[in-house]
Amino acid sequence: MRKLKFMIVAAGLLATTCILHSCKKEEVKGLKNEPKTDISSTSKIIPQDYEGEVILGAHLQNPYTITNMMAAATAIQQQGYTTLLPNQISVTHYYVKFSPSDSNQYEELSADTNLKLYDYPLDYEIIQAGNRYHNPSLPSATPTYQYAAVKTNFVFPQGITYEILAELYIPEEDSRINDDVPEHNVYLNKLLDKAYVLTGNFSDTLDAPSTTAKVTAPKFNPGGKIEIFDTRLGRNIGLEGVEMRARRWFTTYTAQTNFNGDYRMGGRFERDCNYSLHFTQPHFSVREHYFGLTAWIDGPKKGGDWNLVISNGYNRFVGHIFRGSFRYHYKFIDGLQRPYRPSAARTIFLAKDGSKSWSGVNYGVFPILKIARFDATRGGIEFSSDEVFSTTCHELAHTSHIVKMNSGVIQFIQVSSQLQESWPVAVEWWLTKLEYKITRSVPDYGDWNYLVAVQFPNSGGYQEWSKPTNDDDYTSLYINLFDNINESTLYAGRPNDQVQGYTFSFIEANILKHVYGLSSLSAKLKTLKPAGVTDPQIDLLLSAY
Amino acid sequence: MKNIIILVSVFFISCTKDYKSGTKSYLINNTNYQIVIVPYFKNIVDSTMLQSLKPFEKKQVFESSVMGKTLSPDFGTLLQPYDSVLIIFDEKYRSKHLKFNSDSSCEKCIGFTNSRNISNTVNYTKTITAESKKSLTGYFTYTFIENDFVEAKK
Repeated sequence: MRKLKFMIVAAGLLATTCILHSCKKEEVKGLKNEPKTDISSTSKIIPQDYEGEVILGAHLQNPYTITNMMAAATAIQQQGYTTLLPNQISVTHYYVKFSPSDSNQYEELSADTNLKLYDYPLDYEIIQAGNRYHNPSLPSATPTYQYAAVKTNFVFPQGITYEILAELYIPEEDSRINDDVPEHNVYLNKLLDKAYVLTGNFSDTLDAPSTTAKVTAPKFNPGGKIEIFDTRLGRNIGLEGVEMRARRWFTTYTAQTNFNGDYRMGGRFERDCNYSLHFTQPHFSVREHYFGLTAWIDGPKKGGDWNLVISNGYNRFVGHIFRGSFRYHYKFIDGLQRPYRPSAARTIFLAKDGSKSWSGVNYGVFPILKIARFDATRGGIEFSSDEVFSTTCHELAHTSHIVKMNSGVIQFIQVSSQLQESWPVAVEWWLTKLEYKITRSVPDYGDWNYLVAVQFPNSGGYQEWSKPTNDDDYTSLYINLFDNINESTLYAGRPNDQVQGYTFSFIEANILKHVYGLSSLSAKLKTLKPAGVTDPQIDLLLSAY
Repeated sequence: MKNIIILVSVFFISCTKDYKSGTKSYLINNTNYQIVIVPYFKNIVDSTMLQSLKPFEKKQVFESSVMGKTLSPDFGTLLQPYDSVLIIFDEKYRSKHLKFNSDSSCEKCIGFTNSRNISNTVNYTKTITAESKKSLTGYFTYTFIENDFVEAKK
């Protein structure tokens, strides 16, 4: 058993090394992002499309330290505010810096739903929003430090180096202070204002230091709407499922966007908060590259709602990967198996911001999928939104196929390359059609008469496929078992497809696991054929492959 | 050690990289006349596939990403589902290009096997501009010639 474990670990290390070596060396942006200490402005610059390095400003004095909070409590006690006395203030949280040594340690941390990790320190001013940050002192191949506030009873994961940067008292999260009680709310605001003033964080106060205190302020539940531009639809649509965060110093509230892209946090703030968007879900996340971390967009610091339209650029590409994966994992997929891995490992998408001759890669037993943004075979043109969505589904269908073979890679690699590829072709066609024709109401999308310049199989329902002219592996085989179109009447020399009525969920549940090539497929299809389909019809169809 | 090699081999074999090819189709008008290509399906014009060419114009009429190593389909393939394709010169002289399984015969009709039929793939010139082990880049061209006009005018 121990020997087996060693072998698996060794193989994993070797394979990981191979993956890394096979990756083109990529520049990790943000290395020159030295924290600046001489800028005191609190207005945040928003770059175009929220893309670029997050630029940190001054290292702020931490108002939430025990020492400072006790000093603040003492000061306001003298003014008669005594909901809590200074000696009742104690540590509620730790401000922690994690130092994951590699991608696996980072994944272990980020998969922990109790942690709201940030790539950048929480006690720095953020001058410019963006979508990347890497500590300049670290090599590009090492994950950047991860910052979080954790409760004092947090169990730190073993083997991952961490440092407690500060012991905190966070009054907003102290259950003894009920901000619905006016007296408590006044106390809370007085305490916070004093703590901010004592540390020079005047922009966080509700009142200027020398003016009369404003005892109440409008509270708000952070929220808004996140949309993404879809190049196929030519309009914005809601981006469903992304994790939205609103942070004030060490307190983070989260919410998930719904179908329309709307979100609303359960927690309330009275002061401006830092918004951010994270492309993550319990079963998958999107990263820029293997050494990179979960893709995110740092938003503005503001009160009220944050609405965002991801209209262009890399973030839009990431968003459409997220859409495809979200659909496959959580939305209607007509009875297909979800692409969950038995190991419970999250699938990590690497959203490659480059021009490739491939559109996607699936690393089989390892939960890593790559999707390319630009098509090298078309002069580096960017894949359209539905093509990115479709390719994402294709790669996940490979995963599902492997899982269906009892997660037996040995079994999977014995499946003919034609069947290995034709199954995801069918799944991507069907799921993309469900998304665009049914959910998004594009007439005829994915049908035989939908002849627009979108990647096949979405154009024309892949009915133009034929063996002499098209690739032997990426075939219309499984589509033809399902559809009711006989393409031999549409195109010259195409498969004579008189077969119909198999569903993809039926094929996946009853046939896929048992077939390795056309002969075993034929036998299974004949055993389990739907009413009205004959053996000669199956033979005739399969003879075209 | 042998087992590790096997496991690593399995890893690589189980890797699937989905290659793409890029294809384009061009129509070239080598005549001195304006040409309009009008596909009909059940007696209705499909305006999404309608093309118009000025005299001596070369026009890209299709571009797509295709799966695996192939340049198919070309523009002619995409015209095959249509019942017929009308080619009109200077809004006046017409020829009708028939579908591959059409059994109709008519004057100025160009059968599928005719070397001038616009929907027959064999009448397109294929050019490969880049090729790797698993991917292709290239384009197809169909060229209208003076004789096409002469035949339509008859």
